[in-house]
Amino acid sequence: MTTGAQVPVPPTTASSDWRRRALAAVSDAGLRSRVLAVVLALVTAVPVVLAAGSDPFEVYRAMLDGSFGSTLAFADVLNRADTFILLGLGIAISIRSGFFNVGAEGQLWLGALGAAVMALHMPGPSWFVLVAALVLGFVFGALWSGLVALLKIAFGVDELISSLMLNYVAILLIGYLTFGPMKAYRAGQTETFEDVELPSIFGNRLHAGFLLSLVAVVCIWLLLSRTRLGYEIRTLGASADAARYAGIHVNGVVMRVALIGGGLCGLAGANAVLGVQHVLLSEFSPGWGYTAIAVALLGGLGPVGVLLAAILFAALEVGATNMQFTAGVPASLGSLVEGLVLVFFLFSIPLTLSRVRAFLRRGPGSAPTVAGETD
Amino acid sequence: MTRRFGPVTANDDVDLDVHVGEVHALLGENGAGKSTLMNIVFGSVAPDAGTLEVDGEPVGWPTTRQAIERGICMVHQHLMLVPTLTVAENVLLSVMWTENGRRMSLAEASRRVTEIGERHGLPLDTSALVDDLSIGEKLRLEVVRSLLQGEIRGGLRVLILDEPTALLTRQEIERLFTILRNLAADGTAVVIITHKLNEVMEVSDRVTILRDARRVRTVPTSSTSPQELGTLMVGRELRPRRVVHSTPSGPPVLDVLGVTVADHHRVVVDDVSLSVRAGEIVGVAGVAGSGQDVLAECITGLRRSTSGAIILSGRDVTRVDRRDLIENDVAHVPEDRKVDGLVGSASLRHNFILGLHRWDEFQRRGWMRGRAIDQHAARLSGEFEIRTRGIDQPAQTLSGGNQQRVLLGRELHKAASLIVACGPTRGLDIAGTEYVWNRLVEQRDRGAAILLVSLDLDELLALSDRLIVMQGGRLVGELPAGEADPERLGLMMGGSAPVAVAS
Repeated sequence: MTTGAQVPVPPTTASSDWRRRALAAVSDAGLRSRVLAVVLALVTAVPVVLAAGSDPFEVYRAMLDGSFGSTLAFADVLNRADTFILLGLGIAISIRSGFFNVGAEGQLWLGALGAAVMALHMPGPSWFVLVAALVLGFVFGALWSGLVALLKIAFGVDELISSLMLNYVAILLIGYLTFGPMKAYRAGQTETFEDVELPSIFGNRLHAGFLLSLVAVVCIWLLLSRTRLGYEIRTLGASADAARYAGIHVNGVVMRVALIGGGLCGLAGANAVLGVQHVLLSEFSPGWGYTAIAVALLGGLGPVGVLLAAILFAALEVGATNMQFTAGVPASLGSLVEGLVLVFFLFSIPLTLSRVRAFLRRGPGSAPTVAGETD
Repeated sequence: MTRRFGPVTANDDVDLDVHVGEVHALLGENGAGKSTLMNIVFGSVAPDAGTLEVDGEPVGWPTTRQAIERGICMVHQHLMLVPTLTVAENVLLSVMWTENGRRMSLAEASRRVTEIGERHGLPLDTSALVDDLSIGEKLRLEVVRSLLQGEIRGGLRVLILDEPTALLTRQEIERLFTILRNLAADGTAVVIITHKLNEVMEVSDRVTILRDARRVRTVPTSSTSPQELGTLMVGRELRPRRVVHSTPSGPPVLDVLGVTVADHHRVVVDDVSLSVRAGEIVGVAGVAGSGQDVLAECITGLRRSTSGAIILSGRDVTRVDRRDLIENDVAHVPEDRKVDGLVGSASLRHNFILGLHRWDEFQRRGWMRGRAIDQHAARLSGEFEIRTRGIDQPAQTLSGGNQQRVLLGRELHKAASLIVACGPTRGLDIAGTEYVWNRLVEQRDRGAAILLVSLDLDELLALSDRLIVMQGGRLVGELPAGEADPERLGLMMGGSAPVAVAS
């Protein structure tokens, strides 16, 4: 890849080549390795449970009970899942285009801020404020991510770095606001906005945010598989060179993807404050934006996969919290299993790749070549 | 001292021996296996079979470290230096220990570099940053480093240089050659990889010609001529020339006027003008990196020229968006179908509309028209006789020939007025090559203007109605089809023939 007199392209295409290859491996990994990863993670956690002095069988049953055991528990799972779904979709669509945005956490916080600002200050009927709050949440998230895309397009800043750094900026910004200008009677949080909330559906704790996330799943599926932009996203994600060859305006696609992906993450933030918390806290998210990267990867970067992976992770977290009460093992067991799932899943990929590599090594050009002949 | 190895299937059964005190040139076109062969000797590529002897004794295939320990060093085509470190620090990186096993200090590395520099006439400022050195100085540093590595192991016995002259000025080349001959006189065997005929004649004692990964011949340089070397390098076995050449008289479709491209302040295309008429195939010959690929990128809108103009059917397209070009007037068969012409992981359906995906036929207001796309893909699969399980099959699972048919099918479907084909038969077998050739001639006879950029002289000679030769970014010659032959082209490409211009 040369630069200079040519049409401007994002200068990081060469460096993100290995990322593209790695992600192709992630998306191509079969369902079997995903299921296997979950099983292995649950098995590996057994010694930990034993060390804590509990019966693993009891603990897992308590987790299952606490997530799928009752309508109420399942409603909690879906309420948590919608956050993961929206975040996972936002991350998946970014990565599918080769835009390696790890700023979901920051976009989530900004989205929550946008929603809180609207809910606190917008006059009008509550349904109107609700819609306005969701919209501003989307817009805030989109702009935060758009900033990352702008830095990449204009200055060639690697999005992996800038989006990660902006997460801290976002969290500290909301920290400042909730301890300063937006502080309520208690430091570290805003006034509550109980009257602006996502309506519950099916008459219980499940709120409309889950429907919202399902709509998002359908929209992203349509976008990726049925639209011209989706075609361009998939082309760019598979090969930046091919996208350039096809006359695709790479920067334009990157920007649009950043806005859509960041918007979805922002919507996740708006959804969380409007559906469950009804207040903006300085400790709003425990890192959902990072967990959602695992969700997006485990979901194979596709909308339906993300939906399923999000429900799995939500069940692990909610189930673990409930299990803490009944079985007495700390709820962080849920996070442990989440982490193990990802580790095993990612581990299963190099295992197959290494077989390919071993095959290639027998060939001539595959050993560590230092200089190629052709250039 | 002799190094012998063979049979090596990586390089198909190549034997080579290099003697003490000689400069041995390894001559061949790109992809002939020169670098691979030397990387094997240096230990950075492992061979499948074959043996290596040093000083008459068989030794195992080395790792890079073992090679260096035996006094075998290599200066790679892309210099292996850390630009942000100084000269002495770069040396210290690869020469960590002294003869008696002590850790080398920066001061000692610096002193010894200066010492070697004085002894061999290779002066270097050891405290200068590598980034600030000229390319000639960097190369000098690589040579000095190799000498020091050799000195510590009791003498540099083999020095391999992979196309060292590519970026040097004439004066620097002459100095390098003097140094190489002095090294040889001191008892080092020097191997220089090149595809430039005049350099072989100038510096080497013996020359081994490689073609298609095979050794063609090893001859003493004094008993050969550039003409002979050119023929041996390019090969005699011409594929049947079955094309009837045309002499069109219509107005030009493509006019390139004084196009210059600078890349990082280096001129890679220098004031090139050419024109292609409707119904004409113009071939562009030149060794790889002569600027022909950059020129093709300019014409197809992948890159902007620094100055000059490109006129397509009377319209100035110098600054026109590539999208506009490829959707209407230009078909482009790119150099490496696997890199940009196809999306390997995507289906044939996806690939058959790559670049055409904005056509109204395939999308309406941003929504893709699935049925139309499927029909298009199925029709072209049939028309171009692509062996496939169906349009869902990923492109990368097709054979090379079938992949090229997908690409060709898509591009020729445009019925564009200009076709820019870069190495359209690269990696194809005889049958695949013939298929592509026939299709291109068909397009020419339809009235398309075709610019054929190729490293394959047989292909250029078989298809071109007119040939243009580029060297070092400049257009150095033009020949009508009837006057071109491989010897003549080889000489012009290597820059050692009187330039013949006919028009």
